[in-house]
Amino acid sequence: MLGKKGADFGMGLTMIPSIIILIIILTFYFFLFIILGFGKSPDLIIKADSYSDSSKILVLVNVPIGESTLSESIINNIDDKEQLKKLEPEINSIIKSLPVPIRKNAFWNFIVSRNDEELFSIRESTIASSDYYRQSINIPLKDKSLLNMELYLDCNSCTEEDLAVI
Amino acid sequence: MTGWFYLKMNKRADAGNFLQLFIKFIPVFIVSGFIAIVAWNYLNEDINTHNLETYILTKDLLYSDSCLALSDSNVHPMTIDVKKISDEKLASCFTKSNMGYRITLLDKDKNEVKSAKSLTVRQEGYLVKTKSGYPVCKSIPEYRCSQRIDPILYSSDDNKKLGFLVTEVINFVG
Repeated sequence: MLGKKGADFGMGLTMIPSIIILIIILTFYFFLFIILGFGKSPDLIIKADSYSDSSKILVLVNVPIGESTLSESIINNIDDKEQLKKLEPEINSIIKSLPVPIRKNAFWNFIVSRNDEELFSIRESTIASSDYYRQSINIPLKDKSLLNMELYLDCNSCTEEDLAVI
Repeated sequence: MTGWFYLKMNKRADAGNFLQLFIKFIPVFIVSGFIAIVAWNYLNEDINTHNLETYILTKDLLYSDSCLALSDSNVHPMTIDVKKISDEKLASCFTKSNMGYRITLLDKDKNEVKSAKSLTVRQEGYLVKTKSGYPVCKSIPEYRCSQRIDPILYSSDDNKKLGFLVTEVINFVG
C-alpha cells in the first residue's frame, strides 16, 4: 500500500507521458505558426500593389503623339475607326516601352472603350497570370458619352519584390 | 544522535518534496517558455518598409514643386523639369538620415538624359553594381537597397516627352 508520498511520486510518474504529449503539441504549434508562419496576416507585408496610384495612366494619356496627346488623339478620331487603327502601332510601342518586372512573363494591357463598348485594345497575357496595378481614367465627351481608358499589368508568378521595382 | 538522525530525515523529506514540486511544475515551465518565445517573436516582427519608403520618395520627387515637378502658373505632377535635376536640388528636396538615393532620367529609348544624387561616399560605393548586375549593398545585411523605374514626362526645350525615372535607394537598417 502506498503512503501519501508514494502516491505523489506515482502521480509525478504518470504526468511524464502527459508532459511529452504537451511538448509534442507545443513543438508542432511552434513550427506551424512561428517557423512556417501559417495563418500570418498578409497585412504585415506592405504590398506594392496596395499602395499604387493612377500615376501610370495619367502619364500615358498625356504622352505626346504628334501635335497632341494620346488622349486627345483618341478623342479627335473617336468616330473614325480607320484613324484609330492608324494610332494603334504608336500606342502599342508606348505600351511596350513601359517597365515590367525583370525576367518575368509580364505585359501591360491597355483597353479603350466608350460607354462600355470596346474601341480598341492592346492585350497580352499568359496562362495562370494575375492582374496588378489596375488603373483607369474616365473622360466625358461632347456627346455626353464616357470614354474609359484602362491599364493593368498581367504577370505570371510575380512576387512582391518583382512588383516593387515598377 | 537522535537529533542528528531527525535532521537527516528532514533533509531527505525536503529533497523529496522539492522533487515532487519540480515534477508538478514542469508543465508550467514548458507553457510559460512557449508563451515567452511567442511574445519575443511577436515583439521582434520585422516589417519591411523599404519599398514603401522608396515609393514615397519617388512621389515626393515627382509631385512637389520644390522637387522635380514642372511648374509654371500650375504644378504639373509626374512631369519633370530637366533643369531641376541637380544634387543641390535633391539635397533641399528630400533628405532622411541613413537613406541615400540617386535618380537617373532616361529618354523613351532608355538612354540617359541627366542624373543627380543625394549620397554619402560610402552609400555611393555600396550602390556600385557587381558583375552579376546587382549592387554591392545586396550582400551587406545592414543595408537594404532597391531600384524602381517610373514612366514620367519630362520637359526639354519647351516640349514634353515620354521618359523614365530610375530611382536607386540605399537604406541603413542596422
